[in-house]
Amino acid sequence: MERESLNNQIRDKVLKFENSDKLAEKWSSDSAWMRLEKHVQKDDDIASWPRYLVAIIVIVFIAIIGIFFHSFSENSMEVDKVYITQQNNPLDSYSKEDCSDQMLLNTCTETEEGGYIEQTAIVVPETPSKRSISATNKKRAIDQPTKEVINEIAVDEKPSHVGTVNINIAENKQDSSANNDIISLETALATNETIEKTELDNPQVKSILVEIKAYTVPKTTLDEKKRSLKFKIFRREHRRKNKARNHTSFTTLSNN
Amino acid sequence: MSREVIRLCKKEDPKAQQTLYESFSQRIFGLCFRYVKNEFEAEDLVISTFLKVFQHIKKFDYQSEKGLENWIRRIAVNESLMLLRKRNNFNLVPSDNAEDVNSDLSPVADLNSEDLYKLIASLPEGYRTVFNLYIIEGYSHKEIAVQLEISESTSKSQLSKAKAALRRMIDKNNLAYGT
Repeated sequence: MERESLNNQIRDKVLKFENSDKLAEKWSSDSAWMRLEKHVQKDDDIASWPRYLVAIIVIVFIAIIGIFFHSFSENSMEVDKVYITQQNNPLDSYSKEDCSDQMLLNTCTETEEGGYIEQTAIVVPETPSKRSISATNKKRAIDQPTKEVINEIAVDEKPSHVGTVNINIAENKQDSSANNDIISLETALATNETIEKTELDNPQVKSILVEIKAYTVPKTTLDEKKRSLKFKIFRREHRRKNKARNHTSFTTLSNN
Repeated sequence: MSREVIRLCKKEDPKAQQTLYESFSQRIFGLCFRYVKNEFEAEDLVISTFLKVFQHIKKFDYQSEKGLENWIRRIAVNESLMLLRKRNNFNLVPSDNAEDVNSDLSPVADLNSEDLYKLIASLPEGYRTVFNLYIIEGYSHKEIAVQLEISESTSKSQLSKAKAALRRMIDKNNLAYGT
């Protein structure tokens, strides 16, 4: 109790001195106020910064979005139509209006062997950074004898590059990935006879997987090339030899 | 300090801020100087204290002037401790022998206010910090332990040593008793 009283006594005396003019004589609060005032104003400036920053970011963001959509809509006009043709089929064409942002095009052709080719083209609208059109022919159930062709066409801005064709001959349809024999376009063309022989003669072959990855050019180059680009999966000699058989050829055209 | 001044301070009114500053700056300077024993650092602490006051006054619920003062003092104490912590971590030596010195404060309490203030300010930093927190600000040893990141027993020991040091200084300087 006494100790507490002493503590209070000391506290009161210290606070009394801190309140007294004696301390004021030694230290001028005005200079500190001038410094503080600057800090407060500076803080105000700093405090307003985030607001300005947010506003700037929002404006820039809106501008970027605007530019993006503008160019997006321009570029998307580059591919108005995608034609997928097969030698034994009439020309199928699909206008861009048929689909919205992502076109899903399907065509199915029965082959003489009794199977058929399903072609699915997914057209992704082009953007300035990455112009791409991809067409994928997906696997689907087929009747006997099985002959399944899966084509994938991915078109981007690499100019004048026909790309690769991978021919995957699978021994077993159910497990095609286990026995893949992926051959590049060049190899496929070079060893065409072998492939054909395998395809036709080997009764073990349950499916043929053909993946086509092709590349096209930007619109300007397309214009120069009269907007026509052909992707030939099998060489002409092969086509001539096997007219009765299914041959696939894809022609991707833009306008016109 | 009127409620109106606080209301205006909450709206960042410069004049109200100046009024608030002028009302408390001297006391806050005295408080800060007691901790840091350096005029320039004490002034810096006054500035940082009032910056915090102005920043956080919107959250402050004004009840009375005493409450406002206590709030500002607490901010000033925290700012002072922060500076000391940055400087040298209080120069505290952990110790468990809290009751090893005579802690009679009677001669200290009998000093006049100026001598007492000067005497406290002249204590070694570790003793002074604990003495200020416990005796002047009224913190408990538990609170001091948390603030200074020391054990309670260290806080108690520092306080005892601070009291003993004060007594020694009184004896040495033959300071006159009485207010």
